[in-house]
Amino acid sequence: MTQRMTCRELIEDFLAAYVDDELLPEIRDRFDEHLGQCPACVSYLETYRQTMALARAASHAEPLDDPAPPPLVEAILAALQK
Amino acid sequence: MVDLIRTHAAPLRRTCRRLLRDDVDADDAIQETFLNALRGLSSFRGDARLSTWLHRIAINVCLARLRRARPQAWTMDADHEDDALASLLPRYHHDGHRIGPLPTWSTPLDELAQRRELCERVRRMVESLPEPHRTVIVLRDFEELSTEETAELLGVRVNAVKTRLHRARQVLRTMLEHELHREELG
Repeated sequence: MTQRMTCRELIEDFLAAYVDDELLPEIRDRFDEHLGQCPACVSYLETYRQTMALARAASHAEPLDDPAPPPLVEAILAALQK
Repeated sequence: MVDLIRTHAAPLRRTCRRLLRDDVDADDAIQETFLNALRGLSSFRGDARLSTWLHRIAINVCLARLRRARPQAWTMDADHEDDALASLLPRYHHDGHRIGPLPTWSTPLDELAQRRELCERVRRMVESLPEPHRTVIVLRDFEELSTEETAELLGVRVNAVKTRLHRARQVLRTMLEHELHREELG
């Protein structure tokens, strides 16, 4: 009989590979079995995924100084002409 | 040349700012990027996009500057890295159960992602991470490079990138948990 995965193993050893869909099928089965019995790990996984999505959203929302400020363009041109 | 600089300087500037966290350093890095690009123009392969090629040069310039500025931050081993983050990482009982999971946030993701001020706070949270973790999350989640590209640029193994990225996301998750749970309590 396979030993039940602990919260530590799930979060520390396998969660990152799970979200990247890189777990071997037998490990994934144990991972899913644990999730079926552990609301705290379900919540951790969900908020971990949301954190990844928020990091991407934060990146996309970052303002772009477009077009580049003229002094910067001039400084680059000056550096290239040295 | 002016048009080329005008087209590419803005996105390069954003990337350099993310990595260097300083406007003056970022603008110096952009100048160095264009100088390196001009010198290496013969190595540009037409099958790559010019923007992608310039982007890689800019990242290399920034990483070299970071290594020169704080070499000790780049030679830290994994245990020391985790020590620096310990208070923001999950803790466990001997039997493997997590110690005292905190009540977490319940606001839906699409609602959170629309909030500009929260996105700004997330960027500040990333800026506050130790350098090895910050650079990995910037390259993987902000600049959207692959794990392999990130490992190559940082000169570390793919597994080291995966471990640091996981740690960085865990810490960011805890920071968000503290902030959003407090906010939801009002």
